Amino acid sequence: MRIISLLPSATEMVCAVGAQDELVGVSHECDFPAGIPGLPILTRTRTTLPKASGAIDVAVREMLKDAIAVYEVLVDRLRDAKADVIVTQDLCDVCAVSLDDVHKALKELGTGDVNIVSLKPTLLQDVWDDLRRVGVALGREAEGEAAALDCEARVRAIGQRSTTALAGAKRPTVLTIEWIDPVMIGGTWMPELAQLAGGEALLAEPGVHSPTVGLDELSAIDPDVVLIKPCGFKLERTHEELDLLQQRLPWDTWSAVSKGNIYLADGNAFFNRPGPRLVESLEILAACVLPDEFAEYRTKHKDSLQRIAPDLSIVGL
Amino acid sequence: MLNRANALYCLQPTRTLDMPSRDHAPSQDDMLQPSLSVTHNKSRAIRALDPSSVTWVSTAKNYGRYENEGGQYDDLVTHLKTIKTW
Repeated sequence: MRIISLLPSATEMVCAVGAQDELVGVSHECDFPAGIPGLPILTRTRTTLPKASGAIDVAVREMLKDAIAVYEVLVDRLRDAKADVIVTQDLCDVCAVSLDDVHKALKELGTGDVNIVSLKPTLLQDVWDDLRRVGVALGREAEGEAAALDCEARVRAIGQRSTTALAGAKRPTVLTIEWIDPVMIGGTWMPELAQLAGGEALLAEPGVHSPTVGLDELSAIDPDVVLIKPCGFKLERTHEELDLLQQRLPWDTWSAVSKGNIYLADGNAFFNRPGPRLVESLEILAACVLPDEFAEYRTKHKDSLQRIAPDLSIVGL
Repeated sequence: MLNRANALYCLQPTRTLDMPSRDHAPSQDDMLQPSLSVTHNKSRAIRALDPSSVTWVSTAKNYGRYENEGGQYDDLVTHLKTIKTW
């Protein structure tokens, strides 16, 4: 089978069901698992986006307002790939090419016999069910089921462990930040991850897209733990915007700042990819919410998680 | 292109030996205890590893299949066929 994945999380799912060797094209953002380099890249950003978070936000909002797609499908390469199945998404126009873009590209090619699998997860269970759907679409139903069951079991085990560790004590309040300028709160599956990690998510509802909040709303809360994991940003990229934290967050009043409970995580690899690595994302969050209980995850994810001191310096976990 | 080909030889293993297996994640106490180098431990370490050769072959096949317009990877393709991984 010839498979195209136009979404990083979908690429991870295709590989999780054992079909990596059947991939014939990926998106420009697909970078995991290892062994992906060298595959034809079938998408690109339509224009060069600015570097700063605030400027990116303005540019993307302008493009969406004018109904201009942020990304485009490279039609010639799509033709050459001769795909049997295309796995894409219908969740977020800012994340990857939209389902409409894919339909338009296929219409342009006059190709009607391609099986399109469109993913639109908003809750954790949707992600695990997508693994099953991808498995079925690729003729690997058993592998999809096994991968989904594995994720479900691992997530459930962490949830049970955190509940036991809390022993009825009050759950630490958790704020996850998905974008720094403006501040967007981690929505969709993030509140569920916070709950499983032993915490209670603030300013977000399960299954609902990231709300944008201002300093007033942020000043009205005092989270016990704050995890900053900007969508699409690796740790090094987030470091470039640390100065913004003191301007966009109530840095002087939040007790989490003085207690050293502000964390940075790799938001490119984790949390924002609705695929199998949401399990590792939960491990990272659990290591922040209940650090004594989940100490081994601090070791395991030491390259993807950092703690910030009040003076914005990076300190050890 | 030469640099690209050379890059194939620089691939890193996706997990390191000291990373705990997800199925058998040791507790903090476990990690502080010295352990005997016995078959059980070696088996456990092997399960926690993804061999870097698998990644190498996968990436090499991609370059051989999709980036070989000028034939610069012909030797690589021949090698992959020789080791029956093409």
